[in-house]
Amino acid sequence: MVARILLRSSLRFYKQHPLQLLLAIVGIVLGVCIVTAVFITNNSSKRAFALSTEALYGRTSHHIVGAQGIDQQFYAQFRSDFPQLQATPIIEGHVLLGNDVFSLIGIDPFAELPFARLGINNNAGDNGFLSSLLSLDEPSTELPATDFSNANAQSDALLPSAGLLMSAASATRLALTAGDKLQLRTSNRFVETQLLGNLTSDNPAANEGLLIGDIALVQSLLERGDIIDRIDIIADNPLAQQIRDSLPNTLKLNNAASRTQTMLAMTRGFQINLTAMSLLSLLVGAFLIHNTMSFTVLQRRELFAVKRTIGISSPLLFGSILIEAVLISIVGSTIGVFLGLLLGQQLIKLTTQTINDLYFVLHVQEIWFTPWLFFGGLLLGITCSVIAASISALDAARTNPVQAHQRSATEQKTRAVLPALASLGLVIMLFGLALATTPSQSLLLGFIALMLLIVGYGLLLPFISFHASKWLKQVLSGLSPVASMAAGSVERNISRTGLAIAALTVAVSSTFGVDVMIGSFRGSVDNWLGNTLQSDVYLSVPSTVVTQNDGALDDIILQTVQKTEGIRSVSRGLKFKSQSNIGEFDTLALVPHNNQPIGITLISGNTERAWQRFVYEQGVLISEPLATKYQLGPGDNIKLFTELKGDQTFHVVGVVRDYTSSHGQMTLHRDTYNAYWRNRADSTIGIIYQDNINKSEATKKLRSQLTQTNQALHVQANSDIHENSLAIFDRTFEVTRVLRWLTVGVAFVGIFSALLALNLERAREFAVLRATGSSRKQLLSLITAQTLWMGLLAGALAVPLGWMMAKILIHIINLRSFGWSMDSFIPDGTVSSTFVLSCTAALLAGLYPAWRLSQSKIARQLRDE
Amino acid sequence: MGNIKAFQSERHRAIQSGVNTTPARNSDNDFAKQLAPAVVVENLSHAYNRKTRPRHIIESLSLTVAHKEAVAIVGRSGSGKSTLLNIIGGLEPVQDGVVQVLGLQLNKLNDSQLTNLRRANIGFIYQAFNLIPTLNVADNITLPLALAGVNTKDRAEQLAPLLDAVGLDGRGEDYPDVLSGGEQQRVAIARALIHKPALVLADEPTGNLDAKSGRVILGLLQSLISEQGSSLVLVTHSLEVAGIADRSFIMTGGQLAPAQDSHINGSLAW
Repeated sequence: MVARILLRSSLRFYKQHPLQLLLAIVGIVLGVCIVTAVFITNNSSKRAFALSTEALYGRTSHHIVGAQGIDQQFYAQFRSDFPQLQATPIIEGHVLLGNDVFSLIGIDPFAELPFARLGINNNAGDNGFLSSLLSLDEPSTELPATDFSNANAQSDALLPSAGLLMSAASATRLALTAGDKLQLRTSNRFVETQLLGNLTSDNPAANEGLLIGDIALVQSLLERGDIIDRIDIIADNPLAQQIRDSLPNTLKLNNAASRTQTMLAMTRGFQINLTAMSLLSLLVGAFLIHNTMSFTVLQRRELFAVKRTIGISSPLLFGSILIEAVLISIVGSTIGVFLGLLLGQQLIKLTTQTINDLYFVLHVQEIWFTPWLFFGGLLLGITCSVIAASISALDAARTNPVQAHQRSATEQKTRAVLPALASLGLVIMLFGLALATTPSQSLLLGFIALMLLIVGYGLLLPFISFHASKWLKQVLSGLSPVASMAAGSVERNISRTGLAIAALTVAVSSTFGVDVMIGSFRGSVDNWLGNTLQSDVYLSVPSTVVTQNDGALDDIILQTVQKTEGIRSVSRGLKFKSQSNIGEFDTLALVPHNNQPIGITLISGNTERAWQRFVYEQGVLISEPLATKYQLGPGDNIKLFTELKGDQTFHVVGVVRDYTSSHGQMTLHRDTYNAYWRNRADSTIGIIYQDNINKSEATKKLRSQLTQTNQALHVQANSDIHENSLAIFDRTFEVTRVLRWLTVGVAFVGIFSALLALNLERAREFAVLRATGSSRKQLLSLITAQTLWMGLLAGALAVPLGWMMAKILIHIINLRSFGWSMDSFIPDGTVSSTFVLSCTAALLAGLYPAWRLSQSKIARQLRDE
Repeated sequence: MGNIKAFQSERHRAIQSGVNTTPARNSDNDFAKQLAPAVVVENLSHAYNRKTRPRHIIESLSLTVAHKEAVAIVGRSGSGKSTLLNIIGGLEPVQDGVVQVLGLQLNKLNDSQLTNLRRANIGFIYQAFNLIPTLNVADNITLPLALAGVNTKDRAEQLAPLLDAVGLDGRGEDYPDVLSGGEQQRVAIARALIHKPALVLADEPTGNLDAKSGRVILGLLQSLISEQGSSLVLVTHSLEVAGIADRSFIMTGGQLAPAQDSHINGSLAW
């Protein structure tokens, strides 16, 4: 009964202060919305990846892989060695259809059915070879293996008209129907085929972005010659072991699940960083929720005191405030979850682009949303709100009713605890810093350190704000009474202003920290590109996907380059995926310019000695992420699975700075490569012109000579590559920027509500000022000066916190997530934009209450008790 | 007569141009107080909720308060006496009729000019004291001077004798909520008088005090106002309080009627 009365009283308060209620809800909405959106984004990507993996692998238990594919003759032999085994050859590649990237998969229709992949449900196109195959009642285990010695003849015989199957969703999106021509771009040419029909399945999202064809056709489209990518098999463990034992040392049998895990691990750092950003937003959101809830409690201290006086117990009062917080947070969290769903749909476009840019081709068509997510979001919002409100509720419930009537007592009490709070803050910060500097690879510890730093600094802020305002008041007292009163008002109302400044500081510092992190990262990548791209011009085969640049350059290209006048030196590179004892990663087989370490920046190891061993002793250079993740350095060994000699051990001779890939890259000399792998055509050529040559003219001439070779080529000046790389970098951080602005939005709402509450609470005080002779302009100036001072203070205090946050993000979180080290510096304009942001937020937030108060009727304000 | 016109015209121009009239006030006030009424109210009418459900609270009310004169307005709660005081102080707009304060017609003044008038010439005292809780006693008292741009040193100089006069010497650093009700009202009186206003408007100045404290406060108010030569308009429902005025009126039905001695002597029981 009493509780009901208390709740009715709370309801009445919020009816009288609807804007504050709205702002409290909006604070929770935004906080929950951001976290939910990121959660949906990450999980939708994972889900899409899992679906496509499931679609592609079906019941596959193992793969047989070679260092550089498998000779198809081996497959024929293998089938005769294991006639009862369910095995099928696979070719995978990427092609462009218009601007869309598709994964092109070549399968053997006869051997395919037992694998039950691609989610096929017997509705494949009528003209498709797969549908006729699937119309068999029982899968045959005695189907003959494809005869690759006459692959084209075989596929022609099988296919009435050679063509590909496409997912129904993609076909609908591109308005394609069976029989339509498909003009595809492979890595180096355009090829034409036709659409046979659609792949439909129980889960259409699983097949999104897929083109399926007969292996012989795909082999021909992708110019794979007599190589297949892998052999998928279905085998139990004893059989798998038997197969493993039978394989030559140049082939390996891998568990199908391990490949999926490896690919998922690639995006781990990226997704963790997204989660970190969202948690940062939530922390700022929680801080602001605390702020808002604190104000609603602080405003009613006298009312609570009356309730205490008439016999309402502390626990009941405490409970009623918490119930209030729960009710508000249920509303806010529910809206937040649904808005998060909408935001997630937008964020997923940005993150999919980044995953495609940095890791692998991924098509996300389905938003991952479950009831659990709804309840999770609800729980998150409620928990944060309850924790935030409980601090103020506890204070309100424990305060002596007599003291609660005394506003100055509240302020004096706050002032008295400021040094203790500041000391506690310092201790927490020091603990956070100690945690941050503890040698570890744990991301969790890094995040805890970051959070401790923010919380500790937040506790320090009211103390600093109080003394800074006191000092300013004294300085200005003889100069400008209004300015002095403004500073004094921040000092005198520190129980309220301290909270608002702390909230604004934390929010602004997070944007400063993220700006510094992105700026430092961009600067480091910029420097690195400047150091690495030493050739004047680079030649490469156009790639269908950003993450791959492994097309083969025809020999004629190199010959043409070598005959061209005015060229001082040429470097050549072959990019391929190598498998090792620590996973699969990009590898570059390099013929450096004049065998000199041009464009190589060693961050670990003696450059001269390392280079000698790299060129002459088959040493390998590894990138920093590889070194960091696997704790490798000069002197360590790495076991690579080679094409000619199977597993071989290589010595790491140096660690190089490299921002190409977060999952690591290795460089070995082309001579080393040739000793262990079959000789292949280069994928890139770098050219340095002689000094006296007009580079742009020479490039124009070279381009015209290369046109006659009939190979699709990218001829790019180093400045173009530099620019393109930075464009990809910027695209990668687009999602971070979006989250940063959302955090600013959360902060703004928080500050707005705090200042609104603060100023409305002082309405009577301002009315007294007006009655005593303050003009509207003076009142406006007073409130504006006060909020401006708060904004300036927040801006000034945000810079050190933001800098510390950036340091932890750069040197701890990023290093542990991606393995990249970088120099930290404050990009031009970041400090000034921080001040502009904090002052603008404060001024905008102060503008409405200032206007409202200056317009209000003095007599009415004086009358209102 | 010509002097009065000349003074009023000069003050009028000064207020309208936003010039602070404080520095010249003392001598001007002395002069003006001898010559012109502090407040002239003619046919004033005022209603709340005029557009929806009008509640007429003042009806064709007229009143003149001479300089140095203390006038008390006695009435029931809700009779409109506080509204009348707020209109005279420029805190409520003049809806109908004419209100002149120190020769200035209020409905012809804009907000800025009204502010200047209050800042320079009017002191307010409220029943609920209306002290700013986060300002100490000294800051509360000197607030009108700070708003007028008087520097810290001059403020301190003017504060000291007044603190002494209201019996709060040495209490300048205290905050309002550690003071008793009587002490808080002393601070409010000091704040109302520190800029030596020509007119003091007091709304139930002893309403929140016990009888003894009320008497002390009234004595203090009377002596300080008399010392400064200010006019006083006092609204109260206490007959005893009204007793300090030179003239008293009873407000009823939105109009004023001169109070008879019998009323003052206690026949009015609210």
